[in-house]
Amino acid sequence: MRKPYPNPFLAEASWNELEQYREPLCYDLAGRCFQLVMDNGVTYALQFVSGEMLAWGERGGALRWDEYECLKLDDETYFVNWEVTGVQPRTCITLALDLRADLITALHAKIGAIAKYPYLVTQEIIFGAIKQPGKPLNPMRHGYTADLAGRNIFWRYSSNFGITHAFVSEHYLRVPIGQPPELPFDATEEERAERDAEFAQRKAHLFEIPAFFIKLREDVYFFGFIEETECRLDPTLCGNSLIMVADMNRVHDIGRCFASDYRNHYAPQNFLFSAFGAFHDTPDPIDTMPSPYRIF
Amino acid sequence: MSYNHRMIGQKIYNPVSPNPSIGGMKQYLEPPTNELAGKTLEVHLDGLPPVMIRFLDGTNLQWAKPGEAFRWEQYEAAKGDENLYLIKFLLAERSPVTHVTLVWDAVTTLVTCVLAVLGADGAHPRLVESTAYYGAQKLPRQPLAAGRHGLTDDLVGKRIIWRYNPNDEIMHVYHGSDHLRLGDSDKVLAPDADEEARKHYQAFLDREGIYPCYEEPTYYIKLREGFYLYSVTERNINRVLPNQGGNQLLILLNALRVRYIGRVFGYRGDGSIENDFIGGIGRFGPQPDKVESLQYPIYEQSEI
Repeated sequence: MRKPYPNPFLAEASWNELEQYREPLCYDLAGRCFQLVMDNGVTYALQFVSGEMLAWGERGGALRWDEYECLKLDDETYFVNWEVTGVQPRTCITLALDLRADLITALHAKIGAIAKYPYLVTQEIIFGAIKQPGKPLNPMRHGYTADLAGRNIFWRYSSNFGITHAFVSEHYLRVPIGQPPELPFDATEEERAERDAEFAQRKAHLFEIPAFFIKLREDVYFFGFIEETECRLDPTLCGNSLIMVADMNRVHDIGRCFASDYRNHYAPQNFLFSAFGAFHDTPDPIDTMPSPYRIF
Repeated sequence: MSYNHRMIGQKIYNPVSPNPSIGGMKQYLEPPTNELAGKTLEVHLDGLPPVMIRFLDGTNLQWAKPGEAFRWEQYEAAKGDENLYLIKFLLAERSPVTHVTLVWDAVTTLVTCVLAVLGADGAHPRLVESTAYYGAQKLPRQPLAAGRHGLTDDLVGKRIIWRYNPNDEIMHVYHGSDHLRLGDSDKVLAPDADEEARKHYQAFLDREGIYPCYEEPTYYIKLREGFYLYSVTERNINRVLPNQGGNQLLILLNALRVRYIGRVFGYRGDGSIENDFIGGIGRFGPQPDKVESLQYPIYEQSEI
């Protein structure tokens, strides 16, 4: 965990390096109810009881209450995340609510569903639509896309952390190794040393993980990945899941990390973040490097 | 790219979006909030009559003083923190053009209102004059909070490098309790700059002889621990170059996460009224910039 970048107003941050630039949580949805007709054949009620609590359940059944967090990408796109309380294995539900098209994409994730990999996240994506009174259900769905394949984005998450996501295909993400990640020009020696140590490790072991990319509408994407590769090679490592909704015109995303922290006794993590990015085309050895993990 | 090497007119590389990236100071701006829709705010500002504000939806409000009819305005609101709102609207049909910015802390119930007037000074028609009023939200059956937001020197001596888009950074140097400077920067015209960017660059060159360092009057208000509101008015540049500047920037700073949302009020280059939210992400600059060693004031205040 990096120390917060020198901040005279903050001796110690209560958030980690991914969370600093997170926008204020959004309470826009408080009081709103939705009927979600999902392609798994189940219709759900989703009631935002307040800005922090929701009630949800299958049609005809009782509603259960959970605490949620929400961020807003734009006036019509909300990112809603909650962990189902009191359930094992740990279960997290994340929604991309698209109020322009009345569509929804849900991601249902678990940690510990596979005994051999107790810290690996497994997840299922379910598409669906939002039933609005007096309107037929939208027959369209958000869809998988190759729009981002071959693109690189450098994301800034905090004053002292950024990383490039190289979307090497529509199914995989890599982290470049040609140049160490950019640091602020005034970064300290300690920060440079930490960056260099991480970079050396990354050069030794190609970071390549499976990813998914879904298009919500022009410029708006729902994508994510699981840090599965290293976890599969060493089950004591964590196979964490990060998913994001991004506006690719602004190159801005909001997302969540559902994880275990192997550096802290596998402590449960589930938090939202925001990142601000820049596309770049910097050539890198990973562009042509064969995968040591998979047959393409 | 860093704050002291700025490339003017550089296009933002975006191979995915079919439209050019928004750029400027709005690219990293968070969306406005609709949370106030349906809420009512009774504001008691010190020395002014109380005002009742009804937020009809995410963009329309009505306000009235006691005994008066409600007036309808269009507003926008953004969040500086979970329960800290920046609300802005123009008073319709008011002459000269008058702008209201409210900072409402729904946790402490404290409210600060900045009233800004454009063109009140006939000798400086582009100049925005602003006054901050302090007060609190009146809640039913509860006394008005006794505390107030207040002027502060907390930021003085510090500096933040703000990033607005993939290509641009600017350093705010909180140089004194009544002024702010921008960090020194070399400006280079991008090879692919368009006509508007070339004019912008030329304006920078034209300024350099008479406005070598950006220094403008500022006031800093503390909202709660780690949260500040500060005002920057382009008064000096407007004095030395009457066709430029004059606008007021109000920034709601979250110094803990080093983010801000702000609003700009004044004239755009084309003569239309500017009343926009802007936003940035930043980092504290640990090293002094060379503008910090320049004498103060750079511009004779008595001449303004």
